[in-house]
Amino acid sequence: MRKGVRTSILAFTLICLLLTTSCGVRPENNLIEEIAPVIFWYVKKGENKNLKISTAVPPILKEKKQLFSLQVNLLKQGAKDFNLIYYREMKVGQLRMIFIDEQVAKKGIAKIVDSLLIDPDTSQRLFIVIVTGDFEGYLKKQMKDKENAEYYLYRMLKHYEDQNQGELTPINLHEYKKMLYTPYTDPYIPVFKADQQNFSYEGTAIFKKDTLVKTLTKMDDQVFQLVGTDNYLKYLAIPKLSVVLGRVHTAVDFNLNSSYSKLFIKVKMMGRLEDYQGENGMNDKNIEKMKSTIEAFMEERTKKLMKKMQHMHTDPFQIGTHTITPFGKTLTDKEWYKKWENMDIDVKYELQLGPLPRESK
Amino acid sequence: MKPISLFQKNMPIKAVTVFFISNRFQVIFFLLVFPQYIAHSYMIWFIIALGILSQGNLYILSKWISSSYSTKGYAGFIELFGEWKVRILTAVALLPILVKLSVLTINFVSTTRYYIFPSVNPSWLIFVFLLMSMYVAIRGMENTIRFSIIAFFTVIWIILLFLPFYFPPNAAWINLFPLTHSWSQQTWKGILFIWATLSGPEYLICLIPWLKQDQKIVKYMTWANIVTVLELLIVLIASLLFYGHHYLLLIKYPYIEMTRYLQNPIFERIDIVLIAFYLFHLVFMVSILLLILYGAMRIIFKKVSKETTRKGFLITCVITTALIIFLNQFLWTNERQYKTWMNIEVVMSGFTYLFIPSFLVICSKIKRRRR
Repeated sequence: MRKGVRTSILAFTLICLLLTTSCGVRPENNLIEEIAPVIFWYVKKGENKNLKISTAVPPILKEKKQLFSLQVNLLKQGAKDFNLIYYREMKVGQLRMIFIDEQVAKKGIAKIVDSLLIDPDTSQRLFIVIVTGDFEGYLKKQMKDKENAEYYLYRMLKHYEDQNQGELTPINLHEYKKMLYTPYTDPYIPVFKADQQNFSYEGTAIFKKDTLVKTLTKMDDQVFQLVGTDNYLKYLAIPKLSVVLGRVHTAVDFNLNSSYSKLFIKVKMMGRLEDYQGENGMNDKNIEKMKSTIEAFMEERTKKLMKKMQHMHTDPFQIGTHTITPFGKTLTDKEWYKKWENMDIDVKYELQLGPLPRESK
Repeated sequence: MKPISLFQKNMPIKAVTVFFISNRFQVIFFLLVFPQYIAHSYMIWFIIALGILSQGNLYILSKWISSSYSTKGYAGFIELFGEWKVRILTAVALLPILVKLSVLTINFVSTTRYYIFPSVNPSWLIFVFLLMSMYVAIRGMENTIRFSIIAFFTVIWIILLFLPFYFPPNAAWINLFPLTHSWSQQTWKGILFIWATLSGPEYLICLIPWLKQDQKIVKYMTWANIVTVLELLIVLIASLLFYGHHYLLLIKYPYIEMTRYLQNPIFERIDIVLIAFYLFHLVFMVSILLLILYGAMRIIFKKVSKETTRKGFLITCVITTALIIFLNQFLWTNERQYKTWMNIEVVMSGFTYLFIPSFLVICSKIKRRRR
């Protein structure tokens, strides 16, 4: 008898456990045939203050792809409305990328990002990307031509994240939020430009809190990748001096004086000569000369970029964090920005070039 | 029906189990909630300082445990206080036990619900969860105490998952600074919370009769305390390095969110797997508390000399379940109430840990002197 009671309690517990895991008690239905796990959202400005959000379905299945777009007031409202117009239920558990149009970003994206952060289904490794141009057109074209175009976009971002290579710096939700909420730092996000044919890297968008204030392109972007991030550049192209440096690593040293009125930036840059199309021959003397020209050029560009940042009251280089010491008081966010805007900046580059593969003449 | 013997002592349990029980009772609270007032780097010093203070308290507790009253169990308490006083004291003790039980259950259930079953009714989850604990508890006190070893080893390895957060690109050392801060009300709250986290070993008072008498008990408690402090430090520093103080304040469950950030080629949702492991820990805690509760009921209703009955235990469990479901439905509905309950639990467990060991030691000293 005692055994019977014990067995029945055990059986009942097991049944209850099973019930909570799958059927009954209103769980969510995740039958693979009936759902569409979307892997990206594209958010764009719609008509009269609305947002227009788009996604491609079905993401992986071998079925004809469609691009859905909806006019909504709220991001998550889009998630609901998509379900109502499509025969599969959309799931956000596999969401990997969010593309935000530049126009929306200029208005501020904190609310969009917040709504993603609340959802426990959404991974913190979600990539945030700013796009300009006709991204919808690009997607439509790609869907006709090849399978899983959006998946390859994800692989691209993932590739650069893993390699930590400065060609571009993918930013995920966690990194963005951390930059947004930490004092003295402003976020940055990579920018892509889309048209019917191409989806090409443009540069880095610099934010003031959550609003886009400036897109750094070409040379500015390269300087930013070298000085502002931990990355290395595979190629540093300086067309003006007809030179390309390869595998450029930097060690950056920010030095603030005690009253925070002067900033010394010392950049130690290591790389090798990859390409030189100039008129001077490559002998030791000319290389020495070239080195100092590159140094002077980089110093000037960096200084200019810093001035620009000061002018826009933003600090994506996170220089403010260098005021923090293990013991002692820290400045408030406001105090820092006030000091930052009026700071004198001095930049010093030191370039080390690796040996040339051939004997120079 | 053959009567069940929940509180029978067949074979004394090795004293090393004290380490597992004491440590698991201590950390549990911190695992479930990561309060915002402890999310500062200067709290590192307070954790170390309070850990040392807690060691002193454990020494007092060990004084009681090795006294002649303690080893006799219930009879010892009767000898010390007299039957009436014991009944009154037990009735008072019901309150912290019930609060601890409800706070643990409801917190765990709401975490589970947030991450795994967002559309399932919480009452149902509470019911299933308590059913599991009941199943363990009905095996008897001895087996439940032994279950602490399983509970310890299913959870302790999780701490290793926090090591990646000590290295770049996840970590930035600058996040840890500054290590000092001006004194404020938040500091007091933080200290109180850390003390509450270190509480728990006082429940050993109820479990001593089942354990083998051993001089090493104090050594095991010390180790438990050290492991707890290390665990707290590892988690706190990792989360500060990863989030930074300002962003950390906005995260409700950093402990789980951080593991979620790790990438694994097999499981994408590591958090779900981890919550399932924590279930072992929680079931152990709650089953012990249920048994203690049943024991307390028997003392209050003068049933100590009689056999333990299945009916009595089930009634205790049903009342507890009903109480917790009621609390969850009506008195735990918004953020303010949530905070109030957390504060009640923090104050109560801090209080019991601080005063009960000294109270018992002083009482036994006075008694001995009168003789």
